[in-house]
Amino acid sequence: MKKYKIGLFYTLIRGDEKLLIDAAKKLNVDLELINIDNLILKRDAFKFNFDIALLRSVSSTKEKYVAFFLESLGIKTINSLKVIQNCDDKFFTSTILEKKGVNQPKFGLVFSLNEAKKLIENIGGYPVVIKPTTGSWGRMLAKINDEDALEAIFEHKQYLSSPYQKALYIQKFIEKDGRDIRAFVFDGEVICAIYRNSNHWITNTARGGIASNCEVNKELKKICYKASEAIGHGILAMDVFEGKDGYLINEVNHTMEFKNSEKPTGVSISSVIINYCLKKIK
Amino acid sequence: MNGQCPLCSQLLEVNNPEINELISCSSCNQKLIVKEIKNKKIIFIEAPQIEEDWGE
Repeated sequence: MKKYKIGLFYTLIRGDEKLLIDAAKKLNVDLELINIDNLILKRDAFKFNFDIALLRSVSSTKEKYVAFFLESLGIKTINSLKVIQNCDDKFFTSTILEKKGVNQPKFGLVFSLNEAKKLIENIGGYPVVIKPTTGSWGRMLAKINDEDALEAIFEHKQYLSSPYQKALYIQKFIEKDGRDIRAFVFDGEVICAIYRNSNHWITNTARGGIASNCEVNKELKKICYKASEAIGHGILAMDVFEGKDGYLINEVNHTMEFKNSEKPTGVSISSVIINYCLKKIK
Repeated sequence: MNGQCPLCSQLLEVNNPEINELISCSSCNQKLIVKEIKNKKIIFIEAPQIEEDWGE
């Protein structure tokens, strides 16, 4: 029987990548570590010796270029470029979910202060959350409780250098009772989920949120499947709010971080990822 | 295997270290990267600052 090899493309070896390396060893799967910063993306210069590419870049920009390049060579990537692009920009994600009728907080995108005020009125008033369209770990999120705060944040954003900071993604703030859910979803199937518990409205475990196991029920499975289908499946981590009328998809992530989730769920997410890659080669 | 934090000199143990592995110094909390392994000693450097398009 042919032994397959997974190319793990990385920029930093985080705890998550260490778990993947250990899982591959345990499963007796060949894993080649490929440092993205050492690559030359040029057709005639690129040599490879793996059957599938598992993309684990910390930088989403680098990940997109690598996915685009590898797919152009006919190499299968996990996730696909399409899924990466659909998840990378929060406005893209929300718009795709909206088109497919997936429940989520009300949202919109504006470029000027006046339109921001109109949008906030349209989505039901304050409080709202302003997020950068790209980026993560809950960085540069602003909860806006009134118009004064909106004006202050808008002015500050004008001084930031990134053009993406000039696009204001505004989302209705959802009361979370100290927790939200992160669900780990493989081709639409929720393999496990955690609650992210925090007294702060930002619950990311990278920001100190505490993970505990979340039993996966039928409703959670249903909304995650629908969101996964809309995005294009693959390996996804979905942030889910428990709204008063049911679950709401907040964000969909394409390069999941899971090191804090294996212990509370008892699921070896790293092994599931390795097995998923093997399944996709065949 | 172990190596010293380049900032506070704390001796840090890492199991099966990988080049470019990200760790936190247990003493000063500085994020460090495994730069190289020389004579069974880990050489750490400071990790880059978090960039705008990082993480999930």
